[in-house]
Amino acid sequence: MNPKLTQKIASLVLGSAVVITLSALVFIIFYILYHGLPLVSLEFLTNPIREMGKSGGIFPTIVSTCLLAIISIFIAAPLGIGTAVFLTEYTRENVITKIIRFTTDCLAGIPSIIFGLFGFVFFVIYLGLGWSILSGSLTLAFMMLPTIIRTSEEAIRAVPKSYQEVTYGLGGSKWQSITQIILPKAMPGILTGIILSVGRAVSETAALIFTAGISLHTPVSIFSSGRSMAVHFYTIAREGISMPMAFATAAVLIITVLMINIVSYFLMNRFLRRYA
Amino acid sequence: MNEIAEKIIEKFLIMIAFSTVAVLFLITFFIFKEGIPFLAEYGLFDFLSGTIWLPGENNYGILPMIAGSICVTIGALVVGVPLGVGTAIFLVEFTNKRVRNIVKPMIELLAGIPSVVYGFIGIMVLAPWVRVHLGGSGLSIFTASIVLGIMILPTVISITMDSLSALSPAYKEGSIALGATNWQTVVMVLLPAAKSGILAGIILGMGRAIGETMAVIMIAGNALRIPSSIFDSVRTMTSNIALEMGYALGTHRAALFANAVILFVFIMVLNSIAIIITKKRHK
Amino acid sequence: MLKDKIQIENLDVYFGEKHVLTKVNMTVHEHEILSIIGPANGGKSTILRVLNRMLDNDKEAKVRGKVCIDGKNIYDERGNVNRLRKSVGIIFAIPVPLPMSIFDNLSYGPRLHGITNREKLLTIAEKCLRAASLWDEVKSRLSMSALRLSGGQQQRLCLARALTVEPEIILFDEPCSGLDPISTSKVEKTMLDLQKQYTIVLVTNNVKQAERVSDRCAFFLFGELVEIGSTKQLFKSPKDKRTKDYITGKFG
Repeated sequence: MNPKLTQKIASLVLGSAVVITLSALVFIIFYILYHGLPLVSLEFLTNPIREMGKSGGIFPTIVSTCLLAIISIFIAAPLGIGTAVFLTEYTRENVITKIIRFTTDCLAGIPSIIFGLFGFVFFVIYLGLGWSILSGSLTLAFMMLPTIIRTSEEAIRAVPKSYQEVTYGLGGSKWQSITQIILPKAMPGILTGIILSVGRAVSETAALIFTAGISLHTPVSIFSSGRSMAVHFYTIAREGISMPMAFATAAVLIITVLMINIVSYFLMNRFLRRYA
Repeated sequence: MNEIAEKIIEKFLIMIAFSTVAVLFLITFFIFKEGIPFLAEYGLFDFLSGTIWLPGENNYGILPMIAGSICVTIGALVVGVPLGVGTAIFLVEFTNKRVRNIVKPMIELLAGIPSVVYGFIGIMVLAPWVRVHLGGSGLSIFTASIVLGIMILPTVISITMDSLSALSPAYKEGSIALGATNWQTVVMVLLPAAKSGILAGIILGMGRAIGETMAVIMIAGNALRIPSSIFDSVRTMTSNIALEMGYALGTHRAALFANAVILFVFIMVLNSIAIIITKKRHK
Repeated sequence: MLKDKIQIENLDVYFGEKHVLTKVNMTVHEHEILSIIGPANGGKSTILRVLNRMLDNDKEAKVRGKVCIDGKNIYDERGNVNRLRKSVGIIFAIPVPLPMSIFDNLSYGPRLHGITNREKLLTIAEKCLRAASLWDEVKSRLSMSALRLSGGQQQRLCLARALTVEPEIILFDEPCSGLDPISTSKVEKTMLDLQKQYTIVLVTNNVKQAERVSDRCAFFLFGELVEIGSTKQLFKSPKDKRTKDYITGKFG
């Protein structure tokens, strides 16, 4: 067949692949927002869950989700950034770094249900933390580690080595070059990774059901159990408790994810513009 | 800043850096700790080949679930790989930077949508459509494959795009200079050159599909039988664990952990293959 | 009375298997400008990095021999490397202004060593900018980003920055290689002014620059110190044939 003709057909077929992919995205977002957004009101966001989710609002879940996200970042960020700093500044490529990278890649591939089971056996039972925000946050933190390490490493490597040499030349120590030059300049990139991880925490369900639990109440401390928005959504959707409520919750979830992606997109752009 | 403080910081960072190693170790240890004793008693072979899962009567065969996981994964690949690789090729080779800069964030958005929302759309939109037009209950391998296929798109697309972009421009220039069209260049030069990277992306997508839990629970039907058609309802290993863990006790619970062990090993093997392929590529 | 500021005894430097500097013996007198000339890869820049122990960061590098500043071996185990680098400043070939304001560039060094008082930082900044002949050009725009200065101004900024931590020795590593003739002469004039207060070691590819600026000159070839002596004498009647060939441009 004529190569030019094959080319035309190929670009049509491939182009339709793109169209299908993007249509799926657009459809999902619009479908959820169309059915759910009208049902989202201030009352919905601030009221407690009533009748197992059939009425009322999702305030407890919002609190749980926020607590989970904040605490897990608190745990994962220092660990992840610290690991990235170690890999870039304190060693060169050797057996140790290879091992660390391998385990990081492995962790990235472990499904959330296994993290959930692990969290259940280790945090809830073995460490005696029970079904709690703390158990959930610790589990989430472990899940976030690979992403934070990866993005932090990239961000740190993007900072020119010459800045470090200037610091050494002036009599500064390695730690000073890290805290005064490298981390500040790498911060937008690092933050992007953190924000993406927050997105993951918000969407996570399987890991949280078995660690943070499904309590309907607003958590009063990190030792309380609490269901996140995603867990709540799953419960009321699957058990058919209330479709309108499900749609409304989904709408809030989608809006949250949208905002997180937009913020990280602009942050990454600002970072790239400075060095690209 | 004195030297002692610097040394302390360095030691401290070494400890932090081993946190991933420690975490992986802990996960492996505790999952195996709960699951291996059961496997030792029940028998690995019986566990893997048993076709009946009836905890009440001490029957713990997970073959239906293994079959379910495999079918759903293959289905996801059938949907996701052509769409994903096709999209990636189009974006890298047939469009310019401006289009890429608009589409890439949208694909990342696709990755950010919670899996439970995907499952929900499956229940509310796809399953009814299938029920009406193709028969059956609508909750089956077919439905799950479509939804899972879309869920793994971001992984497949971004890795394929990276593999293609990482190729030396000399490949493309050489081919075009000989008069080949864009498409011919893609098929005869670029894809073969990038194949290990693309393969790694597919394997990672496979890992994601096997590990997916929530969406599959919602749309695959969860029936406990080995499927005979793509419109059959199935239960995957992940769904099995998630569905019954909430109320399982004693041996039942141990069996679920054993299920997790099998799943874990499978995924580790898959990931290692992907990592090895990627490392080979970078050499 | 010419005091020895720097004494290098039997210095050998290896990068892995490569023998980069061979049995170097040389002294630098206080308040002199010593230029180091020679073709590329001769070890010139490596000597500078031995003097401020920047080589420590390269895990492949091995340093053998004695390097004394003011009589004390700087490679002594008990020595503080940060304090050494504070007293031995360095200017790189390509100016590296930090991505911050001019004032922040100049207060970066003092801040590293604990000075936070804004008045004091301003005083230091002015003093060093004047010494680097840059004050008049930037005094009204200290909060401007340093990246917006011209190449020659950036290099003088880097010089001023190096002065802020009160070094005793200043190392120049081909400082004018990217600069136009006017900026080059400004930097050279500054070097001559600074001589009264500091000891200066200048690595340069520009033989004429060495002749213009330095008191003594050292010629390095393939890691070996071939000849060292007063600039006038070295250029008029070099003792070694290789020196003569390099200076007259027979190779380079």
